[in-house]
Amino acid sequence: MPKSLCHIDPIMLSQFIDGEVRPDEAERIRKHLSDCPDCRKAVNDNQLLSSCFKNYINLNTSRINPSAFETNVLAKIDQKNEIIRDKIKRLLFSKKILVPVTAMASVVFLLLYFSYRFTFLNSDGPIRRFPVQTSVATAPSAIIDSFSGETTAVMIMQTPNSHETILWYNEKV
Amino acid sequence: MKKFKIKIVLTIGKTLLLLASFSIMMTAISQASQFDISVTTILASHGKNGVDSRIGRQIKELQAAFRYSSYRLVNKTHKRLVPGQTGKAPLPGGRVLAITPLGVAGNRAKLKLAVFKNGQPTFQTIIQLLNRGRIIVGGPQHSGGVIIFIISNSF
Repeated sequence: MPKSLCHIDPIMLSQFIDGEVRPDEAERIRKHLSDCPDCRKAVNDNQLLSSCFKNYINLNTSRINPSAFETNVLAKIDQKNEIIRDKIKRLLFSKKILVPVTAMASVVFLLLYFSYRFTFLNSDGPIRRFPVQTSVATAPSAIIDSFSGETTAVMIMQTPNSHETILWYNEKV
Repeated sequence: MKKFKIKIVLTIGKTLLLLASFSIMMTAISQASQFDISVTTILASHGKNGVDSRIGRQIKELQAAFRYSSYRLVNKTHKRLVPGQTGKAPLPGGRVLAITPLGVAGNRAKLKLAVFKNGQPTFQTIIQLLNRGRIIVGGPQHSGGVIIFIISNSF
């Protein structure tokens, strides 16, 4: 039987190192390793590589301080937010914006106020103009909410032209 | 100096805003605070007296609505009332018209009208009359004709 044929499959050997083979397989490999120096060397090399890799990972992760990392990240976020807030403040409260906006708001408000004042109010006093003229043409001049009394008949009519309400009643004699 | 100018502009703006708000508020309050009410009393009949020239433009509406041949002005009464206050207007035949403004509903004055005859109430109604609008109330018989009273208001 040639020597190479008795070697263990490298994948199987790797699984053996990681403890991922069945117990009977592990026993068989242990027996083989006691007789085969090549396979034993392969196992040792593999274990050495694995331990080096683990040491490297452990060394690098031990250098990371999680709380300091979190603090740094939050500080950077705060710094960025502060910059944005500063920019917004500078934009809103700069005289280039504030003065024209205030002036424009005052002018718009005055225009609205005076248009209201001269459109709806008479110069003699607070007497509305437009609502009456428009309403008279479309709506009855008066709405009768209720009536009562000693009457024999009550009629509600409108004048034909200006829609003025007529309330007609006959007194009891 | 620049900051001082900005402060002045802001102060002027705020003052104008306050003044305008105050003025609008006072106007709104004064609108509902008093009612100018006029009552024109007319005696309409089928007589031969024709039309009383003192009635004025209102006669056209009356003639369009009624078929009386004679319209005689009996009296005109004007009252300036506050809400809840009652004003009285004399009507023919020992009658009295009592008007009480109750308030404002939109663009209408809410009025309570009551007609008394010899001190006894004969007819009562609550109406919503347009601002600067008129209502024609009529029907009571008197001296062979009918009494018509035209109520107008502004607030």
